[in-house]
Amino acid sequence: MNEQAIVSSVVSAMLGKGFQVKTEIANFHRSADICLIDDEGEIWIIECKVSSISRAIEQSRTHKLAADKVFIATVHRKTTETIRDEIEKAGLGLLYVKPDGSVSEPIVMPKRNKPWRFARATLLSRMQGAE
Amino acid sequence: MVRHIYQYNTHTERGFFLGPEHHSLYDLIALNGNIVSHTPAGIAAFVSTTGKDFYIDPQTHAFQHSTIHLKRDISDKEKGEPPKYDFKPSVARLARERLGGIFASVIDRDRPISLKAFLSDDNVNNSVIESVCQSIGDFQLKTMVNELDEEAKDLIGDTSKITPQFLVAPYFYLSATKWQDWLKINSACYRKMKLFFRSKPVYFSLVMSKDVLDHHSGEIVSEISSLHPDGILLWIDDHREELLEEEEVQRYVSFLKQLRGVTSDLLNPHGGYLSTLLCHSEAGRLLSGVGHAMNYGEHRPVIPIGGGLPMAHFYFRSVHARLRFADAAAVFVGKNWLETVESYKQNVCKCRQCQELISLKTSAEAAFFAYGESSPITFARRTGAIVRLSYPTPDAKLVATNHYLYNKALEFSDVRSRGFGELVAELKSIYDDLTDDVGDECCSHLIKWHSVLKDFPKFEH
Repeated sequence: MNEQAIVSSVVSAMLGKGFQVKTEIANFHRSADICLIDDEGEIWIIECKVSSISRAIEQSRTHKLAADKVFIATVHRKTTETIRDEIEKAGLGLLYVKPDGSVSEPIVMPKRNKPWRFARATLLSRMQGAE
Repeated sequence: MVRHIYQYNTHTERGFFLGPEHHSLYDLIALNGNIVSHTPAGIAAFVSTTGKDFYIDPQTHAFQHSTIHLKRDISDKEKGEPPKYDFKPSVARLARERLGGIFASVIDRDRPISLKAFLSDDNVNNSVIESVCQSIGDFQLKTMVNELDEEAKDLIGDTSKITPQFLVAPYFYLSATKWQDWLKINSACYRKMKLFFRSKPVYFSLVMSKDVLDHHSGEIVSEISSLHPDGILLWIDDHREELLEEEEVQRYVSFLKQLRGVTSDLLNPHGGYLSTLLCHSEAGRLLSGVGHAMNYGEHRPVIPIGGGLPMAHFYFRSVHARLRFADAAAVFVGKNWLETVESYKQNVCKCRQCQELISLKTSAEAAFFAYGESSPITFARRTGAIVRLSYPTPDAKLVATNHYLYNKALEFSDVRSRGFGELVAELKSIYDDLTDDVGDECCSHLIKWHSVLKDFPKFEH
């Protein structure tokens, strides 16, 4: 399963929950793979990775500045216990995408951030302006 | 006197050199040969307006590398054409019309200058050296003057205003493998320039890889000392001072000390705050001047690395480094430094640009956000994936550059007016204050610089 397949699976699952979902939204010097607004009006960013989870944790620092919740989505059982601990420590959530394309409930629940209001407002307006 | 050098790379940067708020911030302008060749009359008008001293970097090393670095992609992307590279017109003009000889051959034959071009039976070919030196010296002295029409000459008046303060001898990059051969060529060029051009000081441009610095600095200094150069321009390839290990800082300082012994004017046109500190009188003025471009980093690679988009950065003077805007924001928001104007001024910055933004915006937070205003840009990766990133708006680029230049000027002012020991001690106190909050990656260079420089009096005297 490649990164694009992970993105497609997560997008389908989140649309299925009735969330407003966009892909590839500019957030500072990074591009957020998936941005969504959930049914409580919270903004999530989901970074999709086949590997290099440590790098995704590092990248999430930028996303935490703008989103209420930040997740990493990866292939089922791809992560080790250590990485799961690191994800939890970083306050991020973790989603698994199974080989059949279904998406798990969060394996690790993210902490709710206190994003910077200017960054959150910019991200929200970009989501609303995105096709 | 410590000289603060500004590099002038494009005409869009003109505003940062002129006007009362900028004019007093710098001392010397570094012009690149390409821009002088391409728009000599415009450059002449510019330098005469500034009234500042300047020099022209003839960029002879550019013709020594693979010619791909002198080219641009001229394919029609809209028609889906594959990449098609041709020489940049400005470079072709510089080589063919201004420099001639072996430089024109690079364009005509599409092959870089090799050592063989300078050798005859394994000896340096004097006639080639003479021809190169004559054209490079004439280029620096005469290009602007010769391109002016009578009206422009009347306007400028004294044409000495558009001749450089010193000439730069032809130079080539000292790579890890062929540094000895190229150093011989550079030395031969320097000697000949001194003979040919007696009306101006001639500077030796020392452009070298970090590897050569690490392993051959003694031999380099020994060779240069035999030339008794009027001045030296030092450029170490991609020498990012924030990333140096302690031993590398030590080696850099030792090298400067050795070079200082062979010339009275040692300039680093691509230096950061470490280099600026080394201009201090109590550090023996190891450097006499340091330069930088307009807010895209002090260090510079010899061979341009293609691609990459200019992203918003914020110069955080406490750590003497440019941080990506998001990284700076994460630190400042986390520390609550943006909550009040007082806190912003105390912890982030109180330069002229920050003060102006604070007075214009509704809050300190809004003032800081002005440095990161951006628009999304969309491009396709080689894989075909579409990516969107934030690109700074023109206003954000303008204020971020002003902020950078004001802070750089403050660093030079500190070096001129405060004690060396006090400035070095400050590196450690800032590191101690910030490391837990901003992470070691943002400020570990401060403690490495401190470790070397705190012993400097002992080391030096």
